[in-house]
Amino acid sequence: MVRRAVALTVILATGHLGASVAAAQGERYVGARIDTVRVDVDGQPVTNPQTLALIETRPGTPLSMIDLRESLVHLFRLDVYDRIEAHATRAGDGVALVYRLTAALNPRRTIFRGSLGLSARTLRRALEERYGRVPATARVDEAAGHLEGRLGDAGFLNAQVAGAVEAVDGTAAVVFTVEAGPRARIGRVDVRGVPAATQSTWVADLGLAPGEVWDRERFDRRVQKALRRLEGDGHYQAEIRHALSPREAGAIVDVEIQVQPGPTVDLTFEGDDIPGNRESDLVPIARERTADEDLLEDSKRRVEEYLRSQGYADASVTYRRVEEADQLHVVFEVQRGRLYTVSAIDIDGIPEGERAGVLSLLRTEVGQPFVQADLDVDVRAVRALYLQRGHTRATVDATVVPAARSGVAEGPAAIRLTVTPGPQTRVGAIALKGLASMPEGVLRQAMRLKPGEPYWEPALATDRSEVLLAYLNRGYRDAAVDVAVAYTDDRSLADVVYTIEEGLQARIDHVLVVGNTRTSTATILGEAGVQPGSPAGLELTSEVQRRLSSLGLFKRVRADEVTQSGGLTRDLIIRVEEAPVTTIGYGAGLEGGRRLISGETPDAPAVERFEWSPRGFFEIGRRNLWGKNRSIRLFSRVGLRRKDSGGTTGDIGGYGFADYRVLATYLEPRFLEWRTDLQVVGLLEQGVRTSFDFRRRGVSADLSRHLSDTTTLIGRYVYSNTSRFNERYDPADEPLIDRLYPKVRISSFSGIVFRDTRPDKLDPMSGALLSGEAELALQAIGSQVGYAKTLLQGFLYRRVPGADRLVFASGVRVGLATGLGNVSVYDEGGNPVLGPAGEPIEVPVTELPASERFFTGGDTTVRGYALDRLGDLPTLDENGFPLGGNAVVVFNAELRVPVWRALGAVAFVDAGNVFASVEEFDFGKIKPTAGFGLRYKSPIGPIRADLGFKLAPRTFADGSRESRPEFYISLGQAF
Amino acid sequence: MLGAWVSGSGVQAELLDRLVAVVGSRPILDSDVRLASGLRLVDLPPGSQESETVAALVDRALMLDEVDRFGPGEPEEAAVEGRFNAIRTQLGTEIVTSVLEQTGVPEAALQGWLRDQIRLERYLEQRFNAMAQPTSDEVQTYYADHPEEFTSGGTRRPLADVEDAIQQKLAAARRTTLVADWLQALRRRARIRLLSASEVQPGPR
Repeated sequence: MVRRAVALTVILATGHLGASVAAAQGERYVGARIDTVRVDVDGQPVTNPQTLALIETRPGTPLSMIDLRESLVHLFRLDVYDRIEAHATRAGDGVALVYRLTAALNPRRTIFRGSLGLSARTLRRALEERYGRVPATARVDEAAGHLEGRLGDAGFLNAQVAGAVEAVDGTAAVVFTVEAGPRARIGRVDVRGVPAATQSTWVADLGLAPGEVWDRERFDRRVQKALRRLEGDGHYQAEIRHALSPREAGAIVDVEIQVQPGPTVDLTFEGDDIPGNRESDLVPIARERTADEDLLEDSKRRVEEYLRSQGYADASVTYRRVEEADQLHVVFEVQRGRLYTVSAIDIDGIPEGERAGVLSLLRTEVGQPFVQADLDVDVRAVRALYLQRGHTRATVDATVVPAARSGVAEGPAAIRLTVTPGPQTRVGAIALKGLASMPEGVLRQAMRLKPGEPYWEPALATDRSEVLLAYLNRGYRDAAVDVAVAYTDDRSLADVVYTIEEGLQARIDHVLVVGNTRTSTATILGEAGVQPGSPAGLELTSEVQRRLSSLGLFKRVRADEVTQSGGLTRDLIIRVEEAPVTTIGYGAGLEGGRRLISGETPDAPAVERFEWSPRGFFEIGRRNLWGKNRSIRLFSRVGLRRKDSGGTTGDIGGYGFADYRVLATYLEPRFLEWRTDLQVVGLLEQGVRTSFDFRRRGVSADLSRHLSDTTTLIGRYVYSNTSRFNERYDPADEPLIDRLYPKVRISSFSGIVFRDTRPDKLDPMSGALLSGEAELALQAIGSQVGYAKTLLQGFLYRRVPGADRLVFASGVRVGLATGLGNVSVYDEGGNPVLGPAGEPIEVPVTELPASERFFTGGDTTVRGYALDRLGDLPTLDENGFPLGGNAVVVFNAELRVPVWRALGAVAFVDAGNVFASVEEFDFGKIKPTAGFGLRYKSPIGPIRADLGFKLAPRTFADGSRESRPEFYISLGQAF
Repeated sequence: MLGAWVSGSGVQAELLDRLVAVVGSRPILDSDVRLASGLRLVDLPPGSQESETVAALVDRALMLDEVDRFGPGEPEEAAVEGRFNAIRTQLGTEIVTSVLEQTGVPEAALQGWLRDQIRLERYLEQRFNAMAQPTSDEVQTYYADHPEEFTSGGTRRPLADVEDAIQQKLAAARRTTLVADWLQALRRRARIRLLSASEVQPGPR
């Protein structure tokens, strides 16, 4: 140190020898070939490739101090090393570089030592409230101060706490060394400001008995209680102050209390009543514990505003304060004036057809109290409506005409709104100047205003922000956007010119990941979606945090940008705290319900009996398998049921039938690095239904690839095998049961592609949903029945031009299916029918299993028909029950109209049909319906009620006719 | 002192650069210290110790944190270029280039330093200049209390002639005090780590 200090002194004295020392070092090493580079942490060599990748000095290259410095800064940014040094050894013509690092202590627990005064648990709780379980290293001193304060409040007036990070038993911990000192006890107590006779009562009420331990929290609670008591007596401005005088080295503390009751305050109202008993809210003297001028002035204004909001447009309020010896009288004089009720609302200056729309905007309503503030809001809303339509000079004037009837307490007020829209301005040309690196189409797509549309200044401001944001999010942090508007002489057109200064683009140089132990760095980088060279966009860090947080692997994720020297390149530091990888859940319960069981003898009818069945579930999940965000989850549920009596008289039966469900799910994002997600689900299930039991086995595998933000491609394989037993239902019910629990083994491949550009999927008002699905089930891959099936769907949502609030929604669905291969024929006994040569007879598959057929009709397909009840005659049984078919077509068209606030209405036309086979598909047999409905935008989505009418109801062979209307109530739009 | 260790072959290794201090999340390297002293970027008297340069850089880092939070925007490029040219004129282009090479600081980073310096100076001006201005009473009091300062050849110069000079002197002194108090508060709140070089020890074999 001395040698260096002398050297530096000489350097600075001469003014430029300082450069010479550095120059001397540089001359020895700068430019020399680097032979080896090593990184040591606490004397041990580092092999972690991520750490080594941060070293810019590479063997075989000339030593550059710039690279050396960058390496040190990169290592610092990891935030895991205390000391960071770069050493060099000259060996011949080359240089051996060593980076010597000392790992920083990362404390994982908190330890208390010394004479604590309070229990460690109390101190720990005081610490956790503000600093968490283990305070950050940077806040240890602050935390120590906080503990001193806590101890002081508990009577340890001279407590001293020192905090430090230390290695304890091989791990780092935050150690607080506490010297609490003596705990103060109350000595002398002096209460001033109260009568002498009440002193002892005050001392007792405040918990200040001499000899008691001084406890600040308990004292504060007692003070608050005493203040409440004083307020109850009308002393709203009471104050209680205290001063402590420690003595005997903090072992004794004398307490002086100063009580200032203040005057008693009473509040009275004269003149007219205030409706609604709101006096204490409007004049909150008791709540605010003051009756100063500011509060009274605010209260006066509050009372007047309240009365005016009730329709007393001329309300006037005054107040006065009368102070006597120990009393303050506050008197409010209220003059309500006449109550005005809106008798009529006229709107001038606009076409008749526009009046309904303007009226729907107004808060002011005929028959309601007249409130000037509401009328002011209405004027602004109407003006805003016309401004939004391009009437840049729109004005709205409101005139209120109260009926002159003196001496009457209530009166009508007629309101007239005079609207002067002025000329409408439309957007002319939109020019973009100064573009160099950004595609013009990207910017134009971000703009809301388009040529030909009404010109609206706020939309222009929004567009400017969007253009600027487009640049900022691509790393052009210094971009500037100016916008100029030129109107034509008649203001019918406004030409817009954007002038853009792009500036330079900042990019990411290094991406550093810190804190991961189980999750591989490659997985984190892959999911973060950022790599060296990526533009350093404004939203980069929040986007990285969002993506990594959504994985569910981390308790905390933080991404920070660090600007490198020069400013154009930045390092991205991603810090993660991993969540526990294993989750376990379990539970048990009891289910009760009525169940149909067999009679005691084979001939006895089935009876219903109430049964209890115990059940339990267990699930275990493991995330982040092999550090790559794979997850596996096993869910199992078992319920026990009583055995049926089985036909043996006197057999009581016991619990034996297991109702179980086992579901295993494996999920792997980025399967085999194809940017495709894999999900495999296996299912084993056995259950009880009212009239049968069933057993189901199945497995499905999905490969999903997101081609873009809106387009997804899915490949799927499904195997399922369901069997029914203990069947005790009417054969007429079999078709319905077959739909949900088909006794068939199916093995099929599917391909699905869908594109969804709807911004709001629950209540879409724009965009489109297009999807196509094709499924192939083959006997060669294990399916009992072979078939091919396809379903194409398209839905379009558009705002009606010229009437922005109207939405036109349309949809079309077409499904076609055909059987493949042959199936055996079975007799009534379930035995295969044999041909003359003894071989089983097989016939071509014409019908799909019930669960795979098409059905239509209902609240989301063709409204006007009950669920699944629409079909060509061959698809209905003799009772009109739908059997489904191999072809379906559905058309929908709906106009959605907002009515008032959250309430809307729709008018619709639907049409469709189901056909037994593709060959029988006939557009001439499509059945139309029409109807209307209501929509209510609830917080959970639109609630709808629809009434549909069949436009071509069928007449059946027996002469009866299909009923016309069908009514539906549901959640969400129909399509 | 320069840290050194003896390798297995007996050749002495030399410390090229290291982390000397951390102020919040800002690192200060030994090369920063050499740059600051080599190009006289911090205002220190000649003969200052390295530790004083480090302390000056620590203070600068504390102040820049405040400037980043509350301070003025980027200065004009002409102002930054002017400062750069002033350094080149004072020390010579060769020396400036040499210091930059040996410390590993790119020219763009030095310009960034100068940019920050201008921002810092403007921030201090905005924040403290108004508060530092003396009242006319204070000026008069100073004039009355320091007659020797305004007397030459037995003649005392009138107050009107020296008022501006007194005002500037008092303002400068007060501003120094205000800045020092402010810095002290910043130091109390901040987390500052000063790191000494590691001890000499045998290198790996």
